[in-house]
Amino acid sequence: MTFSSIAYANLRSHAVRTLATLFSVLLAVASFVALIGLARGVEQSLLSALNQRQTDVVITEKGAVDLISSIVDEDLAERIEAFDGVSDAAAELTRMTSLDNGGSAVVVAWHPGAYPWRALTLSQGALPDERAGEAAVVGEAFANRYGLEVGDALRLFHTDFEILGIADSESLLTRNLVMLPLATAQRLTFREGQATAINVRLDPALSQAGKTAAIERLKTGFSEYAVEDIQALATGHTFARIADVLSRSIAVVALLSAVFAIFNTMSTAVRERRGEIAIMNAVGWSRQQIVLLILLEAAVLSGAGGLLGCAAGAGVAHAVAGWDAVSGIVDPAISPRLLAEGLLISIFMGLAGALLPALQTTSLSPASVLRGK
Amino acid sequence: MTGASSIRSFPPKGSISARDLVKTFNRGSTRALDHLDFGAAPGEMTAVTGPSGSGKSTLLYALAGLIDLESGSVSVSGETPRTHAEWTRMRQRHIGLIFQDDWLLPTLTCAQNVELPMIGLEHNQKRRRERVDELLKRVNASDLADRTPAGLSGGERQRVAIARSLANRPEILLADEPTGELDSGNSQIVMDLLTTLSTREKMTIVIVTHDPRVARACGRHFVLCDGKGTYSDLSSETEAS
Repeated sequence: MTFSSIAYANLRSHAVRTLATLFSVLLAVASFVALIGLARGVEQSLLSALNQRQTDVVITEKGAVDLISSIVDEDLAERIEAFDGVSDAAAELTRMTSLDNGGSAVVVAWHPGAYPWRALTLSQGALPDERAGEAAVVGEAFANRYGLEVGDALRLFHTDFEILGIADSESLLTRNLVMLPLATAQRLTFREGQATAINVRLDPALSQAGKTAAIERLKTGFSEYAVEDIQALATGHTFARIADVLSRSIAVVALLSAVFAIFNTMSTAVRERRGEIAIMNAVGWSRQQIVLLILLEAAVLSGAGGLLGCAAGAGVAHAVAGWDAVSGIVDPAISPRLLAEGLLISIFMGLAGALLPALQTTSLSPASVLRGK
Repeated sequence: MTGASSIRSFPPKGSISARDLVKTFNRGSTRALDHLDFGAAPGEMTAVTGPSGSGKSTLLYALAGLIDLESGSVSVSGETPRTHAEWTRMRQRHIGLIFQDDWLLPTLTCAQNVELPMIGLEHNQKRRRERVDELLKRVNASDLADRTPAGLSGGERQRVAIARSLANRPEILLADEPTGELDSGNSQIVMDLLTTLSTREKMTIVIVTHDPRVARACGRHFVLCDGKGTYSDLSSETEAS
């Protein structure tokens, strides 16, 4: 017999209560893992797409709530391209639109020949040229989801587009994009001469310090715009911040609920077992040993709930990411580190919830408990 | 009744003595132990009797270090523990405890209940298991080893509790109404066990009891009344009763 076998026996003896508490912990940790994983997934999707395009800096309207609502003059790209340390600049128009079949699409548009087009890897077809009108390149996941092939028609903005090519990418966002020539997208969305952002590629020959200096120069030179490196953009733009704050807030509430559930369970458990705890002290168990046993029970309970919660949270996050409304935008970032955080938090919750009941019970006089029955 | 002094000179190992114990309840209005002295020599079997509320159980819990006293001290095998930690160590190594209610842990088997006091003292699981087998055999409860207390009779449970009290080979056994909830047959079995421990193994035993038959089985008789105690002559009391 060991400490852990005694703890296990105690937990098993109140199976319903143990399972109910385990479920509370499971829900809390699952919420934490799913919400944080999805929020981080939003950041990583954007970062991965920008990396795939070889973009180093994104310039948007200062104060714009998100990338889609930003408006900048497309001619800004030429001024930026002339800047020292800049290799390429491409005006980009981003829109979200609904499809006739009820799905949705993230549409991005660049001038044919702009560097983001060149960074694409096509698995089929070709890129649009200067003469292309209603032509589109779609990501492979988007094509697979809607059964599209090169030469098929895709209806967007009440207009039929011919699919010229299908792009493959490591970036989930890119695999789910619809990419159009800029002029066509501007005309159909009444944004002539406008872009939502300017994508900037710095001179690849620059060192990291050189790139940092170039970004600083861009910030100074274009101080009326928001000039951000892609890491800052992915984590700092309003949508990411809102997603982060919302997910963390909900996760904290869920975690606090679980702490209370464990506190409640352990309070009830030790109150019911006051006599047993007193007899353990009477037969020579020290206060520390008894507190350790109670904490071990809580840690086993919350650890098991945490493990199941991590698995459930990962499953929920992937299920949510598959919903049509967000499909292709969010790739849940369920990293080993996030799962470890979930597990550690669950065990910490267990210990925090059990500590007070454990200390209260072991501070009682064994005699008063044993005689009080 | 004799007026023999309760404080005698004992060899340390196996002796237990208390001096000037004071314990009150209800914010001092009820004096359970009133400057009480008590002593038991190694191998002695002492019955503590007295009317309800006279302080018998309080004395026993004081001898086990399970209550905080207003004043006084208890010496066990020549040591005088003061702190809770010292008392815990004392109970683990030198004192076995038996209660009217057996207080077996319902989630553990009888063997695990007997093993419980050894956790933290004997780290070798095989040796613990051998000791458990030996103790259960000694109280004639080997067949109960893998059963939980729930389905056992009162006598069976108390025998397992006695085995648990002997787990760490204590020199002193303190028993609070050990036969209080048993029928006469099981009471006799329990008293035979305790008498054997006293006579053959020279274990010091203090038994709180209301039962005259249990008191008669003891060599010494300590009578408590209103928190004060005296030793009595068992033979004269038996005749009087």
